Amino acid sequence: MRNYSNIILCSVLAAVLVSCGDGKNIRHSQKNLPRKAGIAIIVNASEKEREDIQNKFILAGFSVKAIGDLNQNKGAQPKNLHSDTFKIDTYNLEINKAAALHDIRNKLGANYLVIIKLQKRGMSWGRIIDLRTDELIWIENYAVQIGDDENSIINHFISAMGE
Amino acid sequence: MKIYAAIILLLLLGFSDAIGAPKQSISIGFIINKSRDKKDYDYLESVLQSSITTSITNISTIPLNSPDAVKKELAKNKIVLKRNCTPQEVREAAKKIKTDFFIYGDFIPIKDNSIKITLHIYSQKTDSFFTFTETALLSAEIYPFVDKITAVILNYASWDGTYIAQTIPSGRRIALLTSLPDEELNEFYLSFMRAGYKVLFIQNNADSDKIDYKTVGAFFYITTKNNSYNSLSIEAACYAESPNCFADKEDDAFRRLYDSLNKNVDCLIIVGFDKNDKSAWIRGIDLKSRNLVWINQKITGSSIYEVSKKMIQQMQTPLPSPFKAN
Repeated sequence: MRNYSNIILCSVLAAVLVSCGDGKNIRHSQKNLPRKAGIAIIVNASEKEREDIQNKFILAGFSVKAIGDLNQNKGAQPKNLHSDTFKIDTYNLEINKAAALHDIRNKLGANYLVIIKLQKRGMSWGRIIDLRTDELIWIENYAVQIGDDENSIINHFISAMGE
Repeated sequence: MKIYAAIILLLLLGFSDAIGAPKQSISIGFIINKSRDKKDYDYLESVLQSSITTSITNISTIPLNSPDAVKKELAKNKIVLKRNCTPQEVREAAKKIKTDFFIYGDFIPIKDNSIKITLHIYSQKTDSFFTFTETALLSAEIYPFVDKITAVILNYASWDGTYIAQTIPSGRRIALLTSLPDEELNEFYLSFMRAGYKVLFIQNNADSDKIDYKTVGAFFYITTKNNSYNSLSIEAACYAESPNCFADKEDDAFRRLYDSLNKNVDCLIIVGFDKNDKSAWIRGIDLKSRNLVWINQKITGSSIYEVSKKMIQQMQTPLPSPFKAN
């Protein structure tokens, strides 16, 4: 009986290990996020969690101008999937997004947009856009490790972005 | 030795699917003077038709039906293609004479003693219409112009519907619109960033999930100011100048997108991956000139990273000239 329990335990552990490490870590940085930089953050987190995340960035020396919910963007997706309408809607969405990002820079004074998607398992990822040039300057895929939680993943990203 | 070198280059460029494919046949239908009031340019109809036919015959062993041969074949099938024939009629004609590619088009005289020629390549295999436009000074030699057209036709027919009007070298500002979500999108961006491209923020926020491998199909056909790649129904709508032709709307969207990026973007590259992320089709649009400059029907690789690396190789390397190979 005990052997069966061990087998089950090992199987569960193996499944957890696989799900934690099934992706490949990648990071590319054309430019780091300068300390004291004015930033806006979009992250998939609840309001309370976003407050905590904002505080972590502030404590790390960044000037957080705004923080938003990554999941909210889903509401903006084009509804009509009839190909040509969908196509034009998608172009319009990108055009509106450009205007919104330029507003974040001009009205809120954020020079960088930090985007983070937190995953409990598998791969969390981050991106940074330099809002002065509209360019992607930093990307990372981070395979979530055993023992990681949202705090540790955020800490990892904050540390990696400023390296 | 040169042939081996060319094959290696093409393999590197991601044309492995095209190598070894059976030779496709080309038929040249007609190239007509579209201007109603400039009949003195009519002589160019036969000049262009015969020059392009001769140019293709001179450098390629691809089976070719000249305009006269096409007329005869059509007559055998009791078909007459009128000067203002519809895309549906072209498709029927291509089917009857069993040709892989049917080429037809028109030209109009424009200012500065030039002509603007618009050619359509109907592909029976993909049931699609590729349209491209070139302009030429009539005071200059016509042969370089004809050779340029010949190169486009032969590359398109030989390399499985590939069109590359210009390279997109490292350092260019590119906007990538893909069917990839989340971390896969990062994997895709990685090669471009490493290769020195400036990747703009288009689609790289969280709402990437609006486009997936199914919905990205909406971008498979593209209509730009001078070039297009269309299905029969879109081509027919554009021919009939019907509201269902999205040409003006799409051109306007590209103009607004260019403006929204402070007129500081070189190319919009749309990449449709398949369900398994092992192959992708590509459409590249020069947003400044608002022209389709890159069509690739299929780049394959073992991973997203490999597909993107092959894309970059193709972006940086002009297609082999069919003239140099001979």
